[in-house]
Amino acid sequence: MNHAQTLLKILSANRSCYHSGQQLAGEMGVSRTAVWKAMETLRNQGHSIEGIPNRGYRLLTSTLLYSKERLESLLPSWELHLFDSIDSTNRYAKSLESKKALVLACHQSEGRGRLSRSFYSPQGGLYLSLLFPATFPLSDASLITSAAAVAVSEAIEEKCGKYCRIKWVNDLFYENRKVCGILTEGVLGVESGRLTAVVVGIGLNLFTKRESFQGSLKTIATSLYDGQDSLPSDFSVDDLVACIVQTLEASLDTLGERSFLAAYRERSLVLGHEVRVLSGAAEYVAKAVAIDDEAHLVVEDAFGHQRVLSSGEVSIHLEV
Amino acid sequence: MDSIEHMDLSEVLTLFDSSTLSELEISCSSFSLKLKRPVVGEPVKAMKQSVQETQVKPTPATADNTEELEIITSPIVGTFYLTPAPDAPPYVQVGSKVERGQVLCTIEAMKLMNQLECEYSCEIVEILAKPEQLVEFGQPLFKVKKL
Repeated sequence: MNHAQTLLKILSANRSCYHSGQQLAGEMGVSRTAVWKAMETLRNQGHSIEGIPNRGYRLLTSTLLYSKERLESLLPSWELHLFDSIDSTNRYAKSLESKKALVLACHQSEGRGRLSRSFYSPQGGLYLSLLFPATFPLSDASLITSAAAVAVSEAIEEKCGKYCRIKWVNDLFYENRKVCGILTEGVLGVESGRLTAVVVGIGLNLFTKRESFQGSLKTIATSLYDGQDSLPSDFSVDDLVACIVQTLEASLDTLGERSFLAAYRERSLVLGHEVRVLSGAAEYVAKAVAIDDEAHLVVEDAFGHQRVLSSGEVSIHLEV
Repeated sequence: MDSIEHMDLSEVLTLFDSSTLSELEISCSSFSLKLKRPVVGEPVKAMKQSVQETQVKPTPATADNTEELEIITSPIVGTFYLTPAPDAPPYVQVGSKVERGQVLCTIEAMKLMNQLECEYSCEIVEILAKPEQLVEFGQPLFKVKKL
């Protein structure tokens, strides 16, 4: 654990009182200059630390703290890379040489979604990327994103007791607002025509204060818990992370069996509803009638014509 | 440089290189020359040139049809993207020299963003698929020359 992490642990253990620089230096067994440097590191990572002369320092914002030891014991086969703050967990995961790794952060400075769209990643969120070798055939690869959406929903239900629905293809909605985004990236070889590695990036608004979603996010985003105070007393972030990873891993191991599809259909936010389909320049209203065995969405237009939607240029808007 | 017909190609290249121009096109009765800077920082390359006068030093054309060309096809059905983001520079363009392990494009299928990695060094001769369009399995994407 580096000085910044040690300091964060001390400050977050007792948020109500001020910690003097000298006291912190003593507790950490380092110089006051080292404490000051660690403080700067934390501030640069986005933590708000109040400093008052003659009184000391106090951590203001809620900071999500996981326990490395606990995660290691829960996920023994995974190589763990834990950060307070990082530019993007997916970017980091893609740069790793390892076969199987979990990258976890409490804050992303350059969180990214599909086509590099910005993904707002404040404190109070859970940002994790899983790197794993692709063992399944390429024909099953397009099922990964839908399977991941089911796995995360099921882990949330098990550890938080909250039911999320899935907006096709892979957005998780809680109380009709987006609570989680998933970005899956694969590396394909030109000659082999095979996937060599897959990175599944998950951004979950766990306990971000709902009022902190501003602008365009205000009416479309939410979090599972409205602020850290709303977390149940026995809640463990480590347990949730481990459950997400294990559920996803199990689901990917049996991807070809398509056993996740029943839950995928059951949790669908769009099935049976009118949707607006944006496909390139065209836009039409249709009814979502089925999800086929490839997780494609089948829609029926006003004339009774059915279309199977599968690709990225299609964007679905729920008719409210 | 007395007249355009008698200019020294190396001099033009030097001028272009030191300028901030991204493109330069010169044509006259005896030849036409088009220079294009692919990405800031990359060396200037003659993209297309037809020379009739002997005074102008010819440079080799980017694509030599006598050499063997490879076609890279799509391994999956999906949407073809040449850029990592809508406003970002493309991964590759015609004339790009691609190293082993470099990404050529993204093909999206069911929100799975597949980065197509080249397993050998090559030069991009032609881009055969249209960006942001659906590509089929086996559809030609790039014509390349192995290096």
